[in-house]
Amino acid sequence: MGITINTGDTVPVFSQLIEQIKSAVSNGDLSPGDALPSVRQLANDLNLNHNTVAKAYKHLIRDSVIVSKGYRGTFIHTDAQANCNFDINTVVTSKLGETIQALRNTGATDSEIRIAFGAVMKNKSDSGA
Amino acid sequence: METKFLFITVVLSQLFLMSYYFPRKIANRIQYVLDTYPPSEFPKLYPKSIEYYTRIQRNYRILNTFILVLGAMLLGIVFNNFPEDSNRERWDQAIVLSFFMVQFIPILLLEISSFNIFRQMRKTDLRTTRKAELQPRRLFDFISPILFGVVVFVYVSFVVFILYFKRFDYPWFGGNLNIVIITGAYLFFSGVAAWNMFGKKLDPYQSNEDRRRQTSLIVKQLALISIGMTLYAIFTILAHTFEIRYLGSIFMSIYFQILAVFSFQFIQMEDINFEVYKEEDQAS
Repeated sequence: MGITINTGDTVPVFSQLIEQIKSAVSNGDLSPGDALPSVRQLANDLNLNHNTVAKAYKHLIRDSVIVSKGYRGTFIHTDAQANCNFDINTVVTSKLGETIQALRNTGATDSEIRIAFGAVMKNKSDSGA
Repeated sequence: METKFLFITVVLSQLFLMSYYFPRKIANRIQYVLDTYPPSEFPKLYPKSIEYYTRIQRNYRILNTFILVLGAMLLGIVFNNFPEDSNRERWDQAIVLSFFMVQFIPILLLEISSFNIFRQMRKTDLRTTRKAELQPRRLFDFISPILFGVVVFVYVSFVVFILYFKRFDYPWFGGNLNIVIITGAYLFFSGVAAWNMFGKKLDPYQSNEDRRRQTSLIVKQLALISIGMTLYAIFTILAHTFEIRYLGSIFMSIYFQILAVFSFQFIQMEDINFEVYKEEDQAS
């Protein structure tokens, strides 16, 4: 099972990695429990910065497509097939849209929503949440 | 007298093997590549001008011939002035060791040239697509568990041997320093093996199959060299103990020849995928 990335593409490299691993899981090329190369190995093979591959792996772990088992390595998650269809961006956009609509219904202007959103995000960032 | 002939024969064999047989084999491999895979059809194999490759090959041949002649002359001098005194091992081992190092200079220069060629290959590789296997590489993909087990066994035996030997309190015995030196060498070899297994490809066009084969060969060579080195260290201590150091230079030369046989192993030309160096692959 191979992976191909295009550094000239407009899609960020880490997104290409995520998509290709998800697609390999969906197609059945990668099965639950299959081992993946280490971050260092994949980064060296693709001549990429280690942080780029680490970022892709981090997103895949968050989405429960892969699972890290410490020194033993990284493996395909047991529920990867179901989880790889889950798109966090769609969920975020949908929830945010609903919230904005609800706020507008209360009479809040877009400007007030923007300022409040910025302030809440800043507070969350400052408190490390 | 017998020692003299034995010494001359063994060093002559070292001279033949390392300054004639293996260099000839390597030079022939270079010539085979130049003839079979010319720059017109395999441009990516030649990031530098063809003259650069022919010059490397010519210099390699000349340097080895020079060392061969020098070695033959040196042996002639040693043959006519072979001392029979018991302190001979002080200088004959120095001759074998220093000559071995001189014999390694041409291959070292060749390796440096190879690194320069690969660096130029990476510089001129303008492809934006990159491929990798989604499988982890593991030690036992490259070396059999039995060979690895032998390496570990030999190392542990060496440590036990040194710890046991310490009780005899020989004034010349280095004690734990032997363990430190051998452990250092093992760590260095492990680092080289890991670099080959997980590091960046030197040749950007090399196929995954070729890389796997090459890494496997290197890891096996390192394992065999580790075993040879450790056994030789045990032997030198025993030779000192049983006062057969007068044979030290002979065994040292044999040891170096065994190392050379382990080191100068190559992948068969027919097994290497040269198609990746064709112009057609530029787009891929």
